[in-house]
Amino acid sequence: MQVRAQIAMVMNLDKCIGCHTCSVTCKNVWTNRRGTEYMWFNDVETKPGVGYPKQWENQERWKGGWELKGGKLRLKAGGRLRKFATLFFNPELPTLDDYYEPWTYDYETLTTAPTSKHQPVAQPESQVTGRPLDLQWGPNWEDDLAGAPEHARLDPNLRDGVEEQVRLEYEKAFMFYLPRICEHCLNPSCVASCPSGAMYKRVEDGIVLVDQEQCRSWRMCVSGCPYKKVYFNWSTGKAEKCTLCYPRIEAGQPTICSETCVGKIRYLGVVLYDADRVQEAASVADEKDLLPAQLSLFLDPDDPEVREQARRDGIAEDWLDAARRSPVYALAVKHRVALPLHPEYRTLPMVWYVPPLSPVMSLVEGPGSEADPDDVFPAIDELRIPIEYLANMLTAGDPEPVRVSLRRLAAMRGWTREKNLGVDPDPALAAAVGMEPREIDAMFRLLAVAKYDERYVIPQTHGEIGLSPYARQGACGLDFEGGPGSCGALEKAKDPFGAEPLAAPGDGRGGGSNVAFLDFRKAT
Amino acid sequence: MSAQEKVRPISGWSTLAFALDWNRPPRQQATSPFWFLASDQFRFQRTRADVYSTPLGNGALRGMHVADCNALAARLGWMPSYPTFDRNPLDLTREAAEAGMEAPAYVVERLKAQELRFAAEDPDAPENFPRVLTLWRANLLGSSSKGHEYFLRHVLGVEDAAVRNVEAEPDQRPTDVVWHDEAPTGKFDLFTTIDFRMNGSALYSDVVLPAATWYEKYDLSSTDLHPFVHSFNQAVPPPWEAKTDFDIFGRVAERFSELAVEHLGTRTDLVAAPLLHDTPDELAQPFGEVRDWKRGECEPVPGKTMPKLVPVERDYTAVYRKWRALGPLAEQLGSSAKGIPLKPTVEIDQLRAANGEIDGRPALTRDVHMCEAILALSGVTNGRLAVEGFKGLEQRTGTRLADIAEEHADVRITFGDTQVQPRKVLASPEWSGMESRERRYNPFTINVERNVPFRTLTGRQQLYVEHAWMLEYGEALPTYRPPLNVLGVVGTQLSGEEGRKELHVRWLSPHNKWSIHSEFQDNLHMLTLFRGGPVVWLSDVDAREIEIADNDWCEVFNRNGVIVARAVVSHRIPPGIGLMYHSQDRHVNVPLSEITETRGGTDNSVTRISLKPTHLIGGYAQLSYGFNYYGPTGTQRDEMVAVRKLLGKPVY
Amino acid sequence: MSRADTFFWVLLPYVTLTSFVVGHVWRYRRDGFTWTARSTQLLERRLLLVGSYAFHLGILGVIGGHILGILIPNGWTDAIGVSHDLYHWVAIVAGGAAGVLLSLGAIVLVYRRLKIDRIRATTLRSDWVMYPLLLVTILLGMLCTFVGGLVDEYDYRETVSPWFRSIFTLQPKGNLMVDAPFVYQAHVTIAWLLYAVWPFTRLVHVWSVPVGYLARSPIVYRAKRGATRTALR
Repeated sequence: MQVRAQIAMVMNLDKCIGCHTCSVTCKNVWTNRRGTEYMWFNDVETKPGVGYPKQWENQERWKGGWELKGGKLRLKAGGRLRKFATLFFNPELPTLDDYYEPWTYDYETLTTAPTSKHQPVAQPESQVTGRPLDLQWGPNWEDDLAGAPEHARLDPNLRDGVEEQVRLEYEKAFMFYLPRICEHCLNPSCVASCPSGAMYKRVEDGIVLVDQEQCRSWRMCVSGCPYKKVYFNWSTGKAEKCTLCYPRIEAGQPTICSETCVGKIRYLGVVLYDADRVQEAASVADEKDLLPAQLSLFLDPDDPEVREQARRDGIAEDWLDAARRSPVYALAVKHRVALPLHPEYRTLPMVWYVPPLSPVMSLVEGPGSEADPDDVFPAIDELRIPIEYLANMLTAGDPEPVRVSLRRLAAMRGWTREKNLGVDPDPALAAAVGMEPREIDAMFRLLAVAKYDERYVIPQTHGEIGLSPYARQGACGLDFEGGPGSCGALEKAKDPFGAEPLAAPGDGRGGGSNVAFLDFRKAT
Repeated sequence: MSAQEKVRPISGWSTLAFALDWNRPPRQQATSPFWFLASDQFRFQRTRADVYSTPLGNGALRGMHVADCNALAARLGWMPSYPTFDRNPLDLTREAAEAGMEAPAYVVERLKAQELRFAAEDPDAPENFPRVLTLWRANLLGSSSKGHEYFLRHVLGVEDAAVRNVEAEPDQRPTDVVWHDEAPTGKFDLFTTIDFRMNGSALYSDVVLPAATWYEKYDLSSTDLHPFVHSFNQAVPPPWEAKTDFDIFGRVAERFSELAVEHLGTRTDLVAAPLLHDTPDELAQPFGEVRDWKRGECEPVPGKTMPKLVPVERDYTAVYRKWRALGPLAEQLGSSAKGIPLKPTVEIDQLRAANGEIDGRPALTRDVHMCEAILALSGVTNGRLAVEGFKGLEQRTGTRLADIAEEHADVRITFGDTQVQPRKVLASPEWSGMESRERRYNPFTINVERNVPFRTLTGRQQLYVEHAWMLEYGEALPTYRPPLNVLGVVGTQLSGEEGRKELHVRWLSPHNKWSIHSEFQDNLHMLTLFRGGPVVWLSDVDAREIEIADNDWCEVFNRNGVIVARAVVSHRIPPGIGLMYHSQDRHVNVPLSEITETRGGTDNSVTRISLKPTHLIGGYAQLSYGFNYYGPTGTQRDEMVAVRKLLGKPVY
Repeated sequence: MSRADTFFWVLLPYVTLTSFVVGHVWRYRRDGFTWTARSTQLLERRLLLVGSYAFHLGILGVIGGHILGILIPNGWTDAIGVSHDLYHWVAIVAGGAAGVLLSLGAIVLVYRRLKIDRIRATTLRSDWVMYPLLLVTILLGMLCTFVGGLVDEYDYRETVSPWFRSIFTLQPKGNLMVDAPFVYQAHVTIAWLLYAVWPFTRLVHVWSVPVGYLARSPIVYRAKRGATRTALR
């Protein structure tokens, strides 16, 4: 057993209101530059729908993620030799039109137009070419079921019988929002697809990143990711992706999308996992066993033996404490209400989802409409959002874990309603979903009323490990080309051919750090 | 002062907003009747006021046009009216003085002799046109103008306004309001917009004054959505030529005052003030009977059967001086919220100390001074005033009430406090909640729990309103009214063109989820996150029938105007509905219409103002006029439109 | 040799090689961010499929041909029994075919870059310097093959090749080039200029063929402990 820690996320789809604040704030921080206009590290999709990029969930088409061939894991798009053969042209790479061509408007004409017969108007133009653009698609074209009768039928989750159940009609309309970021997988196929080795997973927190100095534009990562969360910057020729806001995470702060989430649907916390068994878990034969296999990777932070091993593997005490308070571990492992997104891709994703409840159809009309509205359990399979749809999305098609989750959510509602009405809830209600009363209370607290510091339990990164703090003295966030004061000047004063004698270890290429004026020691 | 749907520090705010510290009463006007007349939409009202009368009614509205109802409301003092008379009030008072009479008496005499009329009785006479419009903190043309195309044509004189409507037939026209054969166009002389976006209003303005945005100025904000007062702060100065609103008005005031020396000097104005809610005016016209002095049904008595006529001396050369200082009426007369007096006393000296002095008065030379004053003069941010107010209410009701505010008697929220963090407002008689450390605001709790009378005729929650017009409409008790029978009145709105597939749909314009009316509708992120331009949602059932596919360009049109937008086809829209999230404006991605060959309009291009007579009632109990209280709305959402696909490619 | 000869056949090679070497060291150490193949497949794929494969397969063949013809001395091929004629016809046929493929690919790619707005938007200033040099080099190379190979046969392995190798042994035999046909002289000169600018253009991606990938473990981890570089975006 090799214990590693990862900062993982849960999103509660029962509460997402589709406001897109997360998308806009992420964009303003990370993708507001030339080449990144079409990128939405965080995007929100309306389901049912084809999503962004179009039909990203259709791996028969896009060949993202892994598959089992002869009991062994293999990239669905092909292994090393195939990558060489397709170095010059990647057949599985989406085009810009699969995302959308980013546009802006000629706003300036509103103030500069000459006297004219008709009132001036700002027309759309491409942000890539500057030419007028006829808008045909966007990152959220299907918002609130827009165009659903035409497009939503192509939702890859509408398969295996679900398409019969889902009738795109007014009386049977359902929808929910699916906000997505990079999954920061335990078995990232994007990393495995990268021929230059520029992509990597951080050992300390599991964040997956693209080294911007080393990326060579082979663009295999883009097709390799089944979630299509690695993007290609068309201006710089480099791959970019969600960074889990690692500068914030390192400071113990939540990601920007989490910080600004209006509906308070997000949770961030530490999950300890057994790094030695990752490949084994991803390789289980039956897709439906991937969820339990991944759960088996997650280690119990309350188990003293796990903590002992974790210490031996270099995990700090405060991280172990954080793991014990982890809302992600609670929702995914203890309460079993959070589920992974498309585990069948075999990448072992680490952003999980609490599925949404929806109205019980049969209570409105038809058989069962005389039933007790508080007795939701028999009707779980008649919720407006078909269980099979959610299962296709969250459990490789196995409805049982979805059922468990929804029943627990429904039980929690009934339980809390009783309490609010001043009645002692019947413990049998909790037992019916396999929970203790105090577990239901704890789950309610987490899902409904938990404040900021209970939803985001993020231990700070230990900066003293691996880097000499002495060598960091004088470093500041103003270290950029032409930056103010000593920061920028020092950057320029570097020796072109060798490591500065004053630099941090191995910082031969001057990797963006500052140097202490007066520290003559070699860094440890 | 910025406010969404609730100005919490209402007393301080209204003191400054209406210059109640220097002059009273202010001159106010309700927007719906104003524009109903100014944009000549009244000429297109083809149903009479009695069209919705109950067969069991008393005939109070028989034969009346809505414009007649409006003119009556003006002359009976139910509603404020601006322009008021068909003569400049400055001239009226001068004439009165020359005749050796008091101005009110002089006006009454002239009215009786029919030598003076209310402007509402002849809105199309040039002397009754409003002439100068300064638009601030609103997007009249791009967003709120119901009957947008009528505004363009009659208010501004825009040549390609898309009105294709038919005026009322002779037997449908008003009787008390003069009907000119030709409807005037381009009535206004000057349209100025103060805004930071080049939006629909700015595009049609004569003058645009670029304004600072929220992070470029100091200001206060409150809302009904949360119980806090918070500040705007100037993170960066307004760039280029943009100025803060405070700065803009100050500069205009300064120049105006300089010019006033030669052109105006000191004059006496005459304000026709309506009968006010929360004052004894509510009993002026009892029993809900309508007596029209013009018809000799009673004597014209200001403040009883007609508006109060209040002379107000105005030294126009002193406007700028007064702008920069808090006037003496602030403490002499105090403010009154819901008829409960709030008298700031110590606050005036506190403001002198905080803001400095000008001419012996507390200074208002900077925007932060105004914010400070608003906070000081309102009970919700000044515990002392709140307690005082409750004590006043105790006297009126004979009930102990001051304890509600006692826990925060010494709380005094300053602007600096709001800059540290948003501040929760205090319980105050300005509002009807009893918020405290334990409790959030809930309306009417003070009435229900502490037996403070409701501000109704009966002092209770009142369902029955015994006014002649309410009885005429069969609405003395609340009742259901179905949607208006628009097509029955105006006929089909389809174009009738050969071979075109068109459909009628009921027009709905709900709130957009990513905008505050038209704000952010031109923001690139928000446009990117949907369809990048104005859209109309249609049911897939309807779309199929008229062969419109998702993202097709289509035209939405009726007699009022035309919209060109792209269609969003969805099964979540029920058939028979055309849904355009409102206020998408018309300055981004809007092509020309094939029907009118003009630029496509806003969601209000297919609507028009339709006043409901019962909304005009005043001078009677709780229906008496109050600022932002009871009054006519546009009622423009009861409308039908036709939809069809655009034939060719969009032409910009 | 005249001054001009000294300049072109002795001085210029060393100047451009210095730029080549120093430029690459600088670029790799300081400007790793711009060291990329600058793929444009996201923006346009059909022409790229044809152009990129043709160009790259072509250039692999051409490079192979140059290694054979320039770097491997006459004597070695003689020694293993490759006759002059055999060499000559392999050079023409295989070399010519590779050159044609390369030329077609280059034409498609340049056409694509000039005509497709999206691609044009990604063109750098260094491209405006590099592409003309590259295209002229290719054109002159084709002329060498067909003029110097077919029309007016010239055994460059007697002159150009040994001269080229002599640059690197620091005993430049500039006189060997003095009487070479103009197409060869032009081809090598433009090629030197291309080498000079090479490190400052997108062509640096040539050195990044990901051979390491063949032996690498699929998942790459980086740890701060004992870090050899700071993690970047």
